[in-house]
Amino acid sequence: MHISEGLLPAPLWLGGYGLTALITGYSLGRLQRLERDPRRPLPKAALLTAAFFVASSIHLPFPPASLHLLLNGLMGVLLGVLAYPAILVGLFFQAVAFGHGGLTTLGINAAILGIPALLAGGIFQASRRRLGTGWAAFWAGAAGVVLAALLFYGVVLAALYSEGIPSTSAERLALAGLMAAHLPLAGVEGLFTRWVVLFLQRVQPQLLGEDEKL
Amino acid sequence: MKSSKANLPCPPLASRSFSSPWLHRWRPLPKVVGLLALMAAFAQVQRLALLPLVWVLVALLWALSGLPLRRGLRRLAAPGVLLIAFVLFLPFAVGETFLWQWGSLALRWEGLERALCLGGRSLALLALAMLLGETTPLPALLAALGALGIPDLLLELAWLTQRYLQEVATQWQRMQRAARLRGWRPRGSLWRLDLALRQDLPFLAAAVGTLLVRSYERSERVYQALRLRGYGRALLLPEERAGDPWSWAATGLAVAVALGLVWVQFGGYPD
Repeated sequence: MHISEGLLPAPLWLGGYGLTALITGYSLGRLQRLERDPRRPLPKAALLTAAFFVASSIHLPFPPASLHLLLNGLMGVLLGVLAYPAILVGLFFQAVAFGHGGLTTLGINAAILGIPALLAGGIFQASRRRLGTGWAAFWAGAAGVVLAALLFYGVVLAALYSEGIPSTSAERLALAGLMAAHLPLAGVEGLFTRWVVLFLQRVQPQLLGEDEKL
Repeated sequence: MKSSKANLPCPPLASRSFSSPWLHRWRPLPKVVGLLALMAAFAQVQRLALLPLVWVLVALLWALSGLPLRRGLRRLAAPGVLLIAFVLFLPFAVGETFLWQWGSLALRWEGLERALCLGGRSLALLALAMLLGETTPLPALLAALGALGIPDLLLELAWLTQRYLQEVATQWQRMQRAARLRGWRPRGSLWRLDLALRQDLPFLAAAVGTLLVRSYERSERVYQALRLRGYGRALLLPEERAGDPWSWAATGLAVAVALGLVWVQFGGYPD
């Protein structure tokens, strides 16, 4: 779910950078307020970012096709406010090392994946006591995909509009179809997030603990 | 943090002897400024007539980088799915001048022009990002971004992530190999979702969970080791030194070219 280089008009990619600067500033500011040594959580965030980077390359086998996980909801659950900078860093490496996404579209791509990650973290925290850890994780994982797909197609529509393609009912229908196609993926990602979080609760509950969360 | 002069050990900067290709000798800070200015200008290009100039500039920079052409072509041959969809869709959706028609399917000049422009500038931007990444060692690149005002915490997160990426990837491959040796094979399919949901996904979730637990446990040890080596009191990234005059002259040229492109694009020069 990457917007490629050169697809977006300047106001959109510059706006993406502005939004990313604001949210990253807020995340890092919160980290500095919450931690006596703000560098303490960085190795943990870096190793988890590397683990997410590797894990998001997993293609779940559904022969003859395969599914590619986003894991942004899971990042929000585990990293809290650090999820946004971690996603930004992951996308920077993907852009520079593999040419996925791009440097001009780094801000907007970070917003597309990072804002849902922060919201997913909030959903998990807010619903954990009421729904239980497993179902709270399910909704966080599913919401991460649905919100990212909504933002992605919103940006694609804006790009189409900027290229002079009027937003006709046919295009809107095609985009609505693509959105609907993401619903099963959101279900799979929700289940995957639920299983990972339940596994972590059994094996390493500190990873989900209030005291460890930023 | 910036008060201390001692640096923590970090990967050495790439050699910058006079025999190195010129783009490697262009100091990181001026190079980042120059290439970002060019990227911002390339992203504005909407006139097809400007595209040859853009590609001459990319070819010139590529020649100065000394990188093998094959590596660039391999990377540029795999642009994003979205870009391919746009380039294929535009010639049939935009414009009034028909070049070819078959039933309701019509190839239009205006759409073709936009598709060529969009594809050309996207690949040019991709090539510049690749040149920046391939000719600048990561610590130097991060230090240059730091000099441009990117927060230290974000740069340190990037440096540490890059430091552990290879290790985590190797660990993941080892786990996958061990699982296969123990007889695990994905059994689900689009037609057998029950097997996928009962066996494949829970197994992969447990594997990802194990990877996260191992990474977390390691991160605790890493933090202690970093503290012992002075983390928080010494610089993690090298301090960006002022560039040499030639580097800044090249940056001035790149910025001038970028401004010229923007001026031509926005009506300073007729079609």
